[in-house]
Amino acid sequence: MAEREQADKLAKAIDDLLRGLDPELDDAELRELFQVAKPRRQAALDAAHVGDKYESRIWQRLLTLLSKNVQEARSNGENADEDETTIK
Amino acid sequence: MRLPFTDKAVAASVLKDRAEVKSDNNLSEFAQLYHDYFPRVFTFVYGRVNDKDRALDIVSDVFERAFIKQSSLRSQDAFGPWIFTIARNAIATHWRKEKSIAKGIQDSAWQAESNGPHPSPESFILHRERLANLTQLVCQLPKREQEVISLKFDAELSNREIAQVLGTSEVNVRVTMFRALRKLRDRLQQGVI
Repeated sequence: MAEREQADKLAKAIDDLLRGLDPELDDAELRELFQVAKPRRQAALDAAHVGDKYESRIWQRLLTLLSKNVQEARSNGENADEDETTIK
Repeated sequence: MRLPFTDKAVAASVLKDRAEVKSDNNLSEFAQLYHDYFPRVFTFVYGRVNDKDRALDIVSDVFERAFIKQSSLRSQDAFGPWIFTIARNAIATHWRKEKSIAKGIQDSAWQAESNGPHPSPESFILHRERLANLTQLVCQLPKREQEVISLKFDAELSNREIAQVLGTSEVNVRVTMFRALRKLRDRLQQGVI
């Protein structure tokens, strides 16, 4: 099988793996490569599990920064409004 | 001396109210995007910098930049590749600053913090060893191959999205993945760490 054809089949199998499926592969080498892909996917799931614990903490940190940005934007807007609506 | 110009002041007040509503809507929409994308952005960054605290700082920066720059986004559909492009650039900046040596992914942090199901201590240890070996081998691959692997397995992007992030073709993404996994298989079989 040509490399590109193998690459296409493996890509499809990996997409299935990411959807939680366990595809059947008719090529021996592709089966071997898929056996490498599976633990790499498991490693990603483990890492994502670590991230779960920090999602709300980082959002709170972010919210503080974003609120500051929004307030600054409003403040700049107010200054701009003031400049437009006042006679010096 | 500054005097209010009444009609314009009223108009400005209305505009200001609209701006506030728009800001609140932006934040609300952004909160949803954050919720949808945080797990994958974190996993992607964590996998690339190998340090949980640094990864959290970078992820926070990435979302802050995304919020500030979101008006430059053509459509919400493009948000996925776009935020991973921001993340990729932030990681590159991190490595330029740090120039530190990859410590071997996660330093077992995944394993130490992961609460995934493990049927026995023996299988847990085997699981850890297998992941640690594989992770070290991934770190030895060329940067491009590492990125393709991480954008697929950690970020869960489609091949088209990966191609957009890396500025290449889908065919190239698929072939790069194939070659990277082939190298990993060969090195695992040879016991090269």
